[in-house]
Amino acid sequence: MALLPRLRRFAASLSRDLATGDDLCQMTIERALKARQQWAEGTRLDSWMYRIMRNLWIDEVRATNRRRQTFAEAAAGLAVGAPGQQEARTELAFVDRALAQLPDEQREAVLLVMVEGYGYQEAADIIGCPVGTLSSRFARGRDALYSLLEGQQ
Amino acid sequence: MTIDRDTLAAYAEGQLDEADRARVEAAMAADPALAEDVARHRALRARLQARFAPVLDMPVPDRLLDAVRAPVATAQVVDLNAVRVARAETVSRAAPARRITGWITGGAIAASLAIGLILGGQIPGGGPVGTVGGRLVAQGALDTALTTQLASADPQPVQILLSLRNGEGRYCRVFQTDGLSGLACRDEGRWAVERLQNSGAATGGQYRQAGSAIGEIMAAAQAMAPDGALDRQREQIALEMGWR
Repeated sequence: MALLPRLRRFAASLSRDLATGDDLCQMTIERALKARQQWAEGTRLDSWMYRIMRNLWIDEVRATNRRRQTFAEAAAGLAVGAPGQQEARTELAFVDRALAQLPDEQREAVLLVMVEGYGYQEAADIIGCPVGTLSSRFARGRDALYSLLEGQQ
Repeated sequence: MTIDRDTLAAYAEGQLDEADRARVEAAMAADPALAEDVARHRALRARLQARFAPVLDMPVPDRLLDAVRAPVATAQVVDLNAVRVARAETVSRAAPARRITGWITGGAIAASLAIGLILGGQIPGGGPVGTVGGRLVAQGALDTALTTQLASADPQPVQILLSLRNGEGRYCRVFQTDGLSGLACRDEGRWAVERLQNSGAATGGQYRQAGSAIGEIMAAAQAMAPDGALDRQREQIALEMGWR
């Protein structure tokens, strides 16, 4: 339960929509409870649940044929915390648009490392890729965000 | 000497070993553009974190709480109101000895609160606790909650269980968040984290209740507060005065 706010954040950032994120969160919890015998004791429960969530998200995206939200929806869906503040909304929309333009593999690497605060090894374990791959996806995503965000200023 | 983009990004995230780190730092000294990149990196990280931080502070919808609670329905779930009621009663009662007994009972009730999913141990990077000058201090959502929230029975990302004033006149608060529970005291404009424990851990695929960690912290809080826990009104005043 203590993990829920972080799971919600990751779900919201993956799905770019709080409501969809909460659906994803709920599916993740249900899946995790069903599969709890598979959780290896002594490993981090949060990483394990992130991995479940990330895989569910990819399955969902595949199932719905890479359903894409419009930028407007993404901006409206997650415009939290600053209702009516034009400046804040614009900032949120900037960041959302920039993230939306990254390839999925770069976006998830950036979110796990920069937002969720995981080290390379943990992030690579969650995604299920080698550390070297994670490291180069992360660096490319980061550089892409630089130019996307600074171009908008 | 050239530093490639991957290495530079890894440096900015603190992911390099000693030797590589020294190599990057030497290159940075010679090339201001590299140092500039690290500054850009940090600015980007702050921006992304700010973007998603509000989600952490929003109340978790009931359906998610229910999804977690469902499988532990047989466990004892105690409303935190019980703690508040126990506290209010004991504070209004006279004898200090009884007050302390009552308070500990409240702590024990909080300790048996079914936490449901309990996460494993480490303090995550960018998490609720950081270090300043070698001391553990609350940061981010935890810092905000300690400064602005009253002790509450409502489920929140950061829950403040109680507040007290220690023998030195400093305000301290018991909190629970993100698999961690602890005690933080106001010190020079920050919340110094005096105690920090895992709220619990799942063992053998089973979920055990959040027992001892909170109990120990409550006991420590009791030991340091000559006047017991603050009541709602005193807490409100302390909050308005900025915990000074």
